[in-house]
Amino acid sequence: MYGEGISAVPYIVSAYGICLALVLGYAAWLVLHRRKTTMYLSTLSAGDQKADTPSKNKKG
Amino acid sequence: MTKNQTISGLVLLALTAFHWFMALFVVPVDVNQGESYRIIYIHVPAAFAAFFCAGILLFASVRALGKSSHAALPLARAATEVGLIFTIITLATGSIWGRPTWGTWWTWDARLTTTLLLGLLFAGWILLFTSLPEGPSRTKGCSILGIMIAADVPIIYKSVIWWRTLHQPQTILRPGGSATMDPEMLRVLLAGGILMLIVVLWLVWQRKQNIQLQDELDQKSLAGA
Repeated sequence: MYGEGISAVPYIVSAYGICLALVLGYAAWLVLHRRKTTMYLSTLSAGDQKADTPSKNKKG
Repeated sequence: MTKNQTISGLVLLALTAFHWFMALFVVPVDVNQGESYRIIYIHVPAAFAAFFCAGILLFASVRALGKSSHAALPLARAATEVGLIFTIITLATGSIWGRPTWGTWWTWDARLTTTLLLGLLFAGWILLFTSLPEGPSRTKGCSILGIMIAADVPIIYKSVIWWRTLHQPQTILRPGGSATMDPEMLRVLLAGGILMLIVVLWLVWQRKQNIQLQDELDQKSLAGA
């Protein structure tokens, strides 16, 4: 058998661990990036709406 | 992220956990390779996933070139990033599997070298995209490179036939023959491959939406400045 006498556990754990870390890490970054971008966009949109609304104190 | 997107992501995570449980604890051990062969249940699907990303990149590149439009670039960029991640996973898991099986972490074998080239090309695409200003030159340059990246996939696939390699020849998609794997092992491997492709689609779709939102934010910020 190939690799006889060598414990396969560290290799299996490393391989699955790398896969999990990369995919979950990327997915987590996507979620955080989405939240941040959506928050900035809604802040900008709220600012635009404020600018479009005429001021109540404005006379004339 | 909408509720449906979050739920679909969690369902994919649960399915992946179930697949890994099957791969690690249920499928029988390989008589020649021992327990370390279980790494192939992520190595092979990750390679499929990287090839699939190259296919999406090809589709987006041809679309961008044909319509001379940069609208397809967010899809191309998302596919490239996800493709790079899955190429890294393929190379890393292959290297880890190779140590107890071949006795070496790395060898300049044709299959390994062409897969490394795929990773470098994906990274090069991202560098090219970020270094060029938005416009027709970026669309054209990235699209041509995208098509070249996709051309590497059949070379990787055929490398074990064209050259004498340490990497074993095809196990699943063999020309004119059935798979050389035990059906029980093969079922779990194919299920993992299909699952990984769905994970890729989910990641690419989420990334594409993020890129479009970022573009919208940049445009609004510029307009407001």
